[in-house]
Amino acid sequence: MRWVVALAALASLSCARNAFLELEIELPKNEWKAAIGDRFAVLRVATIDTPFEQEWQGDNPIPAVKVLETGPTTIRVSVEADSDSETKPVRLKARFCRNATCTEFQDDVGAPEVWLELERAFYIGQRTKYQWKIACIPNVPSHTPATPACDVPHKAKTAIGRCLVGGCRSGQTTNYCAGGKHFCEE
Amino acid sequence: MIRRAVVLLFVCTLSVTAAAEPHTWKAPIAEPSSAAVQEAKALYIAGNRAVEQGRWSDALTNFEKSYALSGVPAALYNVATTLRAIGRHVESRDAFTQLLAKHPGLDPDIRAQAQKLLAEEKGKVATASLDGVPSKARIYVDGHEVADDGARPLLLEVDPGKHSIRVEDPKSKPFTWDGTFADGEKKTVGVKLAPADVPKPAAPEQSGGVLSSPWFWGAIGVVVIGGAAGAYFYDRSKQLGPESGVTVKL
Repeated sequence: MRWVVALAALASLSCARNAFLELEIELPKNEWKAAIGDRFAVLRVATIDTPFEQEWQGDNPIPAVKVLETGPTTIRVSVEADSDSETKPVRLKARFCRNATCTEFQDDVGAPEVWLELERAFYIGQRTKYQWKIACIPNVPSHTPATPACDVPHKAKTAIGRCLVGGCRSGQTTNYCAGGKHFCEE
Repeated sequence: MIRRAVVLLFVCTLSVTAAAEPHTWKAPIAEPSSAAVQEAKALYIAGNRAVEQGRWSDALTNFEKSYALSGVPAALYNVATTLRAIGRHVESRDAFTQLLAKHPGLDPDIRAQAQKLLAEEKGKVATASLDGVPSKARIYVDGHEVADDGARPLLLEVDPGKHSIRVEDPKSKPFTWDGTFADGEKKTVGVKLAPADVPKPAAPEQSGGVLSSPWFWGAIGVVVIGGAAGAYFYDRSKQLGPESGVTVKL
């Protein structure tokens, strides 16, 4: 009987139980290098269970990336989810700090932050993709000079619908839904 | 926020301390530099803005940093009133106490207001008196470990609201108490620790038959481990893998 149970358990393992979101994040250039020095992008990913306002340090650490003064930097991150997180909105936060660990005196008070929320990004057994382009580091009084002006809002959530998350369809398109359903749902 | 009305917002946040250990806020020992004062001023302004927007946690951080940089009593006053506004009365009381003790040159109006608020905060702090705590026990309130000053009964100051107290002793089962404290309430909690379960001795083995053969169980072990390893790698081969070198698991 035990062998039957074991074989049944083995058979149940034959399907994928995870999903991946392949993120491509384009970081802006550091336009204030001469005035205020280096900036490091500290990136975090979480589900909707984690409030944006909450400190995300320590959750899902992604190595900090130095923001270059010469031009944008692109980084790639693979985010894995299981069935528990499959349908939950995914939150991304980019914080621009004075050092890689975000522990400089002023960083924990109000370092510039950019927030993004993907309505849905995961479908078990499927690979999805999203490109997040951050045009500039938000202006925050006492943290960044007023110029050049940046129209990316500080600590304001940008919501992205599920149809803008790529996956389950090849070729060029910006809409990954048909009839209100994502291609990965079919 | 100083001289402004504070909107009272009750948030049941943990603030607990053994009665003998007041919270303290650091101030610079020497005269702060002008850069530090400027920084402190910016933080103070940011703190006031955060209060206006109801971002109490940010406000508290700003005022604490501002005080640490400058030692300006207005910043500590705002630390105290912010803690009061979010229901952290134990710490608020300690902040008002420090303000009055360390800043004798305080503006008379502010001093009078601080004294009035200090009296109110003292009246809100609740106390749990723990009876029967062993000397080497570890005590947790709402999941946070509390320092044991050795006094018995052990007095714990808590904010009004719901709390969970847990006492752990190596020789006993953990003791847990859940309850609610009203403003200024004093409760006695009798800690009753039951002895820990002693593992039962293994049943003596029956002799004879293939089941008593170490070779039989060795063979079973090889089959089970092999099967588990096979299942693991089979499962892995069916799961998706990352495409980039940086992977995050939700």
